Amino acid sequence: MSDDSVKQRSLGRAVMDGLGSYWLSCLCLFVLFLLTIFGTLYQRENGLYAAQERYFNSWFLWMHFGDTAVPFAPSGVLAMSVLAVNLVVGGLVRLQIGARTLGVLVIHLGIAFLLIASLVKLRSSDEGHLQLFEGEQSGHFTSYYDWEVAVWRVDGMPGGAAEEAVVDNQFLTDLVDGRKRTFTLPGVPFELELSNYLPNCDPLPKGPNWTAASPVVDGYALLERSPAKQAEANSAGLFARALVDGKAQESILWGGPSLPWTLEAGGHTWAVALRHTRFPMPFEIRLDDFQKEDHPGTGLAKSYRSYVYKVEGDGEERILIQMNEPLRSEGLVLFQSSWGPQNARPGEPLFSGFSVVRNPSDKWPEIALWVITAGMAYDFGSKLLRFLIRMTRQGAARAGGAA
Amino acid sequence: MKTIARLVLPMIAGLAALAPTAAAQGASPHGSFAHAPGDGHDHGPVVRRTEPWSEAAKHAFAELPVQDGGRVKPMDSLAGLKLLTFNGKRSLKLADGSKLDHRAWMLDVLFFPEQAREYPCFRIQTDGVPVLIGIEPKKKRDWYSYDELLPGRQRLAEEARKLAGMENSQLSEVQRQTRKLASDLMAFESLLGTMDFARLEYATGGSEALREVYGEGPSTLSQVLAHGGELQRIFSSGALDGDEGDALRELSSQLGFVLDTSKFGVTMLPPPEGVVDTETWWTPGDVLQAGLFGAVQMDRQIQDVAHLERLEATKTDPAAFTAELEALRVSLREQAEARGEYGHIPLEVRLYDLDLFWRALYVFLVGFLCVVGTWLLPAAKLPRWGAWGFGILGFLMVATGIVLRCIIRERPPVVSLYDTILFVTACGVFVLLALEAMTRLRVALSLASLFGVAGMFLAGRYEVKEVASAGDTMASVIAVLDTNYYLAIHVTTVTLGYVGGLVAGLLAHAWIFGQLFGMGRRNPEAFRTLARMIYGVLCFCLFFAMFGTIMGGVWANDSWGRFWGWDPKENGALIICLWVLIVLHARLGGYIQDRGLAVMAVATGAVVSASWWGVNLLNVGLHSYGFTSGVALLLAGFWIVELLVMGISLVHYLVGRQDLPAEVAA
Repeated sequence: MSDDSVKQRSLGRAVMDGLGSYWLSCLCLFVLFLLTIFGTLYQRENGLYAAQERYFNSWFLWMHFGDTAVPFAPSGVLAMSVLAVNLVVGGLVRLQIGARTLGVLVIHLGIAFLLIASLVKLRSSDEGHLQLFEGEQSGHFTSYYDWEVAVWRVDGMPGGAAEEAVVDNQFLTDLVDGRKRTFTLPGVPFELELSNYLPNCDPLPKGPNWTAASPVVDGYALLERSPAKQAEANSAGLFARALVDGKAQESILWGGPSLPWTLEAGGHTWAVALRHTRFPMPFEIRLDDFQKEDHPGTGLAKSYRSYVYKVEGDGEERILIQMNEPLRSEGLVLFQSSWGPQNARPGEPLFSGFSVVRNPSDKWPEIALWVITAGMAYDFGSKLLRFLIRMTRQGAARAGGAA
Repeated sequence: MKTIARLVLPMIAGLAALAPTAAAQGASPHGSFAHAPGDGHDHGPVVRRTEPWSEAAKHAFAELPVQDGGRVKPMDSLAGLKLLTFNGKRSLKLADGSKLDHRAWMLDVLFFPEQAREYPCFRIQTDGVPVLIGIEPKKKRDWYSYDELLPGRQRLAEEARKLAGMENSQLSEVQRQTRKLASDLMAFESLLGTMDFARLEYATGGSEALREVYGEGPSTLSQVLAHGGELQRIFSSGALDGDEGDALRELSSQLGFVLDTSKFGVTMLPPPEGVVDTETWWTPGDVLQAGLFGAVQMDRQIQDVAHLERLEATKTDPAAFTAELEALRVSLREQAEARGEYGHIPLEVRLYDLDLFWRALYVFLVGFLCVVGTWLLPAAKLPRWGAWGFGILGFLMVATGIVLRCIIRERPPVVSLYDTILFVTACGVFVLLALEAMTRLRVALSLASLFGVAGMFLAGRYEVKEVASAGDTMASVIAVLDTNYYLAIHVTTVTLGYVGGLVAGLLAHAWIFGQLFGMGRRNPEAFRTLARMIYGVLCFCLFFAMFGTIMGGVWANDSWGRFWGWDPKENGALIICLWVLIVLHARLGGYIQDRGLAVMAVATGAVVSASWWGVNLLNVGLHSYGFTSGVALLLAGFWIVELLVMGISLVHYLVGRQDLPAEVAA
């Protein structure tokens, strides 16, 4: 065997030793421990969404020096990724399997499965909400945070149906610092140029006392606001320019309650709107009956439940959705999450709010839970047994000595 | 019928407004403060109680079912909880040095309100509040009577109104206390007004139309209600001129007064069949309101009102009063039983009578004295048996209390923060006694009593806080918690995780201080066993914390639509898991030995306290039912002490190394 191959093997071994070491486990766990503490404290002033983005959903923690952002510490994604590697190398690949380590192996398998479930959720899930008054029906749910620009023809469509062309959230959020992007959308007879994206803003008549964050259109411009503590309360905005037959038409698009921008192109009227991203559902939901029950003599909700019809084609099925008992169907899960208006007087109609999630790994954590628990029960149980045997022997030795 | 009601109620309200009530005093929960002197109604001469309430009367009173905070509970609980909220204790010390228990206090509030107003039952934690509302402050933390606070009542209401809608965390201590006092006074006024209806003589003899129905003399409310239909007819005839009008105005003023006072009192009357809301119990004022609508048959409720009137009439005759009270109890019991709401009333009275948790504190204290005896007389058996006996007895008392609370609520053992203290204490003592049974080192036995004392002391202190904020330690739960499956599994196991972390931390203290005082050198094998115990208890902690945390995610996935949301309470559970994993991996990797394990176990206790209490102080996230305040200083003090203990151990280690020969230290 040559010196080089020996060196290569020892280098590879050293890398594997390092990746699978207890030292690396402790480091990653400690980093996660600190991130969890600081991410929790950060929520108090900045809200949950900002804390998630900064401490858990990014690779690094960034420090800003003027306009320059510099990474200064690992964040959640990096720490969890390294921990996952460490877990696989140290806890699965290099673990010497035997009766004593069987429990540890099972625990690590369960945790690995849990991490995979998290990854699948992070990459492949859609989350949003659906709000219905009794009798209302919907075939889509709406994102809490993401935005899209939708373009549709408002005249001359058969039966009033409107086919929409959509610009997705990922093409909007980077349109800052003068960056702009032009879109040619299928079936739309004009080009749409978007710029000046603001995550939270208000359209106001432009006056002398404030600096506009967007070009002024018809005397109005966007005033940038600090991100809301509850990220779903943000109202995004951007500047839009449509190139129709070589001529530009401009507008401000705002995600708050507002009418869409309409323009004439190709002999038709078109609407353009900035709105929360909509996700289609494979079925429609109609709210039949919403019931809210308070603890007697108090305003404290004891329970609230919705009887809905799941409408699919010509068939419909009546289903009960209530707290802790969601509807799981065709990859979607609908949860009873809220009701309103909170200030409704007795007898006034109430709406029912559902959280809607499309998550391929929906039930995986439950499987991981039982795997981890089985591993811990075996490992810790056998440790306890050994301890008890040792104590019994010590007691017997003491008794013998005393005799 | 509804049309008549639409006519009658506004008319009474309007007439009542014209009448010389105390509306202008403007400070009570219902728009006017009806208990200020001169409320415009003749309540007769002020009657004072001249002899103590009999035990029989107090017992019958204790078992009256009432509805409060969304559940039916005994009057005994209501009285205790209200006095605890106002006063910080379930008993009251009067100016003459005598003591009044909560039942006697509540009886006085209902039947001798003028006297009860003189009791110093409002504890104000800072003299900033009296200064703010313009009354002469006493000592910094002192007790005030309602009459003493009355001159500042209006100002207090105005100050509290300014604070409406603000979170506790945004308020200064004076503001928090101001808000609490305003809320306490409103609750007290509601109680004071409960029996006001029974102290009035209703002017039903002043008009021809009324005389035709009610006869010549004045009537009681139950008599007025017995002819509710005729009264509606008279009111809706609208004759307001001359003597007829004056008579109607006087009667409507009295009825308006009752709607303004007794309607907000104790809800002690089960409603009749046929009303829209059959779940919510009624006050005497509710009976009047329903009587004016006249839409339902409510003979039983009118009989109950008559019972209450007879109680008021016989209050200075102990024997007659007790007999009436017993009769009322039997009547209300029958009605509550028919609704399936009486089942746990006697048990709840018994639970508070037994006072298991407070008594357990003393049992653990005696147990700890026995432990001290074992240190002084290691060979003597009696102190050891005493330590075991009192430790087990204390555990059984706390466990019994927990079981009784589970039966009463029909819930698993841990629902509120107060429950966690009881559960942690019982399980912590049990784990320590079990460890002692395994190891016979007398270390865990010593710590068991200490743990019990600390837990029961904390429970006693926190009970006041929870009652002040939630109104009860067995309060109704919000919709998301209405699942015994997840409550039983997730909350219980997470709390067992807390037990493991705290017990490991406590054992680690014993290890550190034992080493500091040289015991480790004299008995190294015992200290190795102690280190193994710490390790084992950390494994126990990890098992339950990990299971509970992931199970919490499974629950969140079923109720909120996501497994993990980095919510503060979730993060609190996670940091326990992460920290214990660090400790166990550091031990497996050989980076720490017994001392390092002990120091990190002490830190585990601090991490558990941050998860258990600290994250609740942030007041953010979805676990709003766990929010609390006012424990920050205590928590900070605990962390500082724990840091000191860790520092002491580190210094001891470094000093020990200096004393070693160079080659050994290296």
